Amino acid sequence: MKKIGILGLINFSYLKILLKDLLIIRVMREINRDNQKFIEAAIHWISTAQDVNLDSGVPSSYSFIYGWGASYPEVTGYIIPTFFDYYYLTKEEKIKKRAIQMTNWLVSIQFPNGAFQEGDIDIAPQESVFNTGQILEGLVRAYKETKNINYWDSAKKAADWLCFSQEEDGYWKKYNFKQMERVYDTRVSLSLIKFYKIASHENLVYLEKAKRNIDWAIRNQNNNGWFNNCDNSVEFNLYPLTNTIAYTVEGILESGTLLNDNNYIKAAEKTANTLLKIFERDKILFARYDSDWKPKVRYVCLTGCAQISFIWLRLFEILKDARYLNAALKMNDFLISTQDLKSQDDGIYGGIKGSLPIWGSYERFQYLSWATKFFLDALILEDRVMKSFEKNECSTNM
Amino acid sequence: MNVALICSGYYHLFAIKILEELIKSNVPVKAVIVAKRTRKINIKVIKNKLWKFKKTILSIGVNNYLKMFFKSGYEKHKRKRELKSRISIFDYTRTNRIATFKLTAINSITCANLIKKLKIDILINGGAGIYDRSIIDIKNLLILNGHWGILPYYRGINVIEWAFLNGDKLGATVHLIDRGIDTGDILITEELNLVSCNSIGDLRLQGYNFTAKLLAKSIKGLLEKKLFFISQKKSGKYWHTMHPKLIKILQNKLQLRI
Repeated sequence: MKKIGILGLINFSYLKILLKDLLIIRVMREINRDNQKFIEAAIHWISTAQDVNLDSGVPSSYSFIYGWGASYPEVTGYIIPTFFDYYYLTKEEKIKKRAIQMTNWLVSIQFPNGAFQEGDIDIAPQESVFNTGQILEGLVRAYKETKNINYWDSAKKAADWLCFSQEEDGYWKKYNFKQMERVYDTRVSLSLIKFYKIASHENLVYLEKAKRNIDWAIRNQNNNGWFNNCDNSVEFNLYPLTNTIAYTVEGILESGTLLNDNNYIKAAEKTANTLLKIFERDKILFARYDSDWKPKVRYVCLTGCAQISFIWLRLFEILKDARYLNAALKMNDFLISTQDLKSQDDGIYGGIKGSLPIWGSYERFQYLSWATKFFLDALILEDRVMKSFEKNECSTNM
Repeated sequence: MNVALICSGYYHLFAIKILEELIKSNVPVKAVIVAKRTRKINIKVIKNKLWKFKKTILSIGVNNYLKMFFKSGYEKHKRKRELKSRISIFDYTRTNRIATFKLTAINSITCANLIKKLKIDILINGGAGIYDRSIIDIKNLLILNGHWGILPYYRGINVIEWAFLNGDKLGATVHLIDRGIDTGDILITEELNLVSCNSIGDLRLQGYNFTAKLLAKSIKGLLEKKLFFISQKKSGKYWHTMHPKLIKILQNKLQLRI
């Protein structure tokens, strides 16, 4: 990782971004926007990121101070399904090739016990449950698309390790970040369920472990939809990030959909509905909320916003409640207004920032690969949902 | 029972329509209360407005806000000029010899005292914003609202548009105003049968004409003790301003009706 240093901020492209955020200038809104150019720009950003390092992994971010980061296994893992989704839209073989390259890299760095490491590839290797879960999602998708037996073997090893490392009560702790039991591991459970689905229902233990975790997470949910044990820190655990809230909700929602479990879907809807009310009232979602859903900071976590938009779109698909579609369209308008399509700098053009303003505490002064990935997911899903909505596929509200 | 109409704005089209219908239905209207605004300007109101403004700016950016502000400012100015060429609510009250009272703000002690002084039993909301406790908590006062959607399924705003887009029944509800939003006990609900409608403007016009008529009808029914209040189901959905992409789909759907 090349350190440009604080003097790196004295760069016209960076100064332009800083000034725009200081003056709260956004991209001019188009009323009936076509998402194609925004999606293409985001794909370009991730593809450029993948080409920076020689290992075919995707770096975590582009930083104003450090430049491009080292390849990040977790994020590379869950970018794989996004790239396959984009491949199906455009039939561009190079996109599919990139997804396969990412998968091959991940298989090559897996630990012998099946786990994957925490953080960037250049830090000391340490097993991580959450990261293994996200990579498992990528491996499962890659196997479904290519039927490559190496991907199956790698996925099975990862799934087995996840099952082995779960605690009795259904949470993960020992191999978690800072050894904290956290509800956002429902996204790990989701990957286990996805693996169970392709494992020809061979071994119910994957399903049992996943359900045990989701049930534990739901026990941590308040009546107003807020979750205890939801932040990836100890000091901010009373006001978790929208990013980690969204991970939790997505894990519960998609698991509920795969298992046809209405209780899971209702639990996810409870939180999503509260977030919708806050967003429609405030026109913005700040990065952290306390247990009364009061914002505790004045910056926005763009990753969380993109994830929540995706969740709303999925809820619209499942429940046919047009309020979710309405909110997601507004949220996507907001996200698009933060994407820079004019910069000559490859680390900025098409990417999505960590925080808005960029000096906010969430991944300060960085453009993030995972924020860009979730942004892509939200726009691709919006296009799909709008197509079917225009054909009158919306059920009665009464 | 003493009936009064309350609204903010001298050219409030919905209030004028309601008054028209009340007069047609021979409902005795004791007074019309017209206020400049819903709330008195004080530190709390200014603070709330500033916070709301800040959130809007953070959401859409200064440049988009300015674009929207000038565009809507121009449209507001155009509309004001157009409205002033029409008759005002005072023309109705003068012709029908209804006492009219001008106030600064609806949610104020002055307004509450006026309502008590006039011994108003039924206060009809002709578009006066959100009421606060100074008005809602007046003893023995029923504040009735005509809502352009079937409650509790369509609470909130743009409800007639949402109902049409969802393929649901269109209608109106007359209900009590309480501390919630569109949660008060229901007096009457009726379905609206749309007549050759090919634009959103048409849809809204039919909606509010129908709602005004229903309001007048329901007050008559209440005065004649033929109608009674029923509590709403607790579960209901709130609808918000419709996104332009959905407005476009709605417009297409309306045009396909021709």
